[in-house]
Amino acid sequence: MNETPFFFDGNGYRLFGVVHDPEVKGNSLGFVFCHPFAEEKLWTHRVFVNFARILTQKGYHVLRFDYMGNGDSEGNFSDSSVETCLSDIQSAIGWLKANRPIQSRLGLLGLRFGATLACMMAERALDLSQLVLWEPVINGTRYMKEMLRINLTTQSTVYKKVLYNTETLVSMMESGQSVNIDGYEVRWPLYHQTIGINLSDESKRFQGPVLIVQMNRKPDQGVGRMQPLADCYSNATVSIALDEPFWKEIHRNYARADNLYDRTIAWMDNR
Amino acid sequence: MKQVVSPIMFSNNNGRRLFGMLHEPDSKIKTTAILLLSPGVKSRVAPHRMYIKMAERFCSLGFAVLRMDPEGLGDSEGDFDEELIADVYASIQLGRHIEDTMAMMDWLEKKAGISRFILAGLCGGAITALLTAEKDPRVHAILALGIPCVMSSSTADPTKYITQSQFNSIRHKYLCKILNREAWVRFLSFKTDYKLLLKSIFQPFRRQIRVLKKTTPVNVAPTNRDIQINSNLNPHFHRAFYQFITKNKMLMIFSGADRLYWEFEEKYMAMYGPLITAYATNYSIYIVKEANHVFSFKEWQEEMLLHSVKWLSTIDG
Repeated sequence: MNETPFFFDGNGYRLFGVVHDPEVKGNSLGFVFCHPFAEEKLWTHRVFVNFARILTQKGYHVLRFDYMGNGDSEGNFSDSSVETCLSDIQSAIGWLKANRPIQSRLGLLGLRFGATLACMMAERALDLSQLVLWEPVINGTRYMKEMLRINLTTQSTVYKKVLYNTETLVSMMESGQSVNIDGYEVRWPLYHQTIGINLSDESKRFQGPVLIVQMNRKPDQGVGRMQPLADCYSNATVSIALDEPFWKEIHRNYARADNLYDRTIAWMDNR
Repeated sequence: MKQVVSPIMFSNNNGRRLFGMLHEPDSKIKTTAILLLSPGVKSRVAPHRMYIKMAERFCSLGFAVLRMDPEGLGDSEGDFDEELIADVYASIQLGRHIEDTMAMMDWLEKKAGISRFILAGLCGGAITALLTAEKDPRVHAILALGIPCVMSSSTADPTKYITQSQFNSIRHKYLCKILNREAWVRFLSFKTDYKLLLKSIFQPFRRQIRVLKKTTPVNVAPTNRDIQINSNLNPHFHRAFYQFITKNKMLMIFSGADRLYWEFEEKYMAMYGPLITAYATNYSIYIVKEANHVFSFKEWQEEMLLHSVKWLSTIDG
């Protein structure tokens, strides 16, 4: 396999990445992968790795990397925010364009909150060629509520009661303290910038093709959940993949997400 | 002390490339290196980047620290065939990563001339450390966080091997919910685990009966057959643990609210305690009170790190 781990420059810190080069004759297409939030990143890591390997078999260049304060990149998670993540994605795009023969044919692929960030990035970097959004987090407020619930669950498991409710946790962040979510210290900038996100609230400037994959356990589950987001784009396709929510602890060992892969490859091949 | 962090890769004995990170102090490097071994499926980073915090702290003491992904995990090549995560955990508890851990030591020995190692890890990383030490004399000491002494299983009845402390915790949770409307809705709509509920309620009475019948623990090691019949203890655990602590140092840090601690106390120490007391100076157990399995809260992480550093300073490096 043609994979190289390395550090590259972020905004004053080193970002860790693995670049996957084509196993067959290159097609001058590339993807930067945008990973999910906090512990979801770890649960989904192998799904990303294996999909990157599949893409190299089809001639793509892929850069997987860790945002500042995540994975092996430098910095503390507590210093990260939506803006630092977007800046890091910009750095990753810059690196791949400068170091591989891709030019303007570069897309972003994101999963969960990584898909949210990819979507936001595409509004700033309009020269991206395509977007693949796997189960994007559409509403940041709702997502942060879910995340804070993890803290409440930890409290009730450990202390047998909730000492700090959601409102108190938010106040703590606002006053400069961090709040622990699954071991990650979240501060106000990350929280505040995330709750301001609602991906489906306005039409998008990005004109390239977009694949939005909704992941369902059952075929009839939440039909149309991603349609409001698709409606914001001029050229978006919604596809449903029957897969389990592998971004959290489940009984299955989810190193591959075959339905998700198939949907995505089919869309790429059709283009 | 400044440190240099570099990505590394090399091939294991199966010809699979393994990826990892090497933390090196920029001066006064010790002659013993530390390997942080993958916990379950969370790879070289570990939950909430715990291994990065540990590596930075240990490297500042002068240790070179290597964090690698074994075959099939993280960025490394290879695949796991197991469909269920419990079966992956079971394979690790039986030594899946021993060969790769030895390959990591080989690599460091070749690169830096280091031939003495402290193996450290959380959960699956801790049991990998112990099982590797049984096969490789280069392992000088072990730092085990939440070491599992039992076997995971995707087929066993999950209520069969629950410890007394787990039952107490579960019973307490049910009692707290007795006035909770949602809990009653779950109960009446058949969503409650009735078996677990009933077992947790009646377990204290059953225990009383068992205490009346029970004789004192024997001072000879139970056989593997005894273990298979009576508990879900890892059949390799006692042998590897006993062999290691007779000659080497080992620190076990447990989280106070973790079933793995209860299992160690109630399943291992209750049965084997008398056999290992002679070596009590070689191993120590430290409990981070209230902490959960992965030391989520930063005060728990800090306590774990401080105690680890204190113990490392007693190890000849």
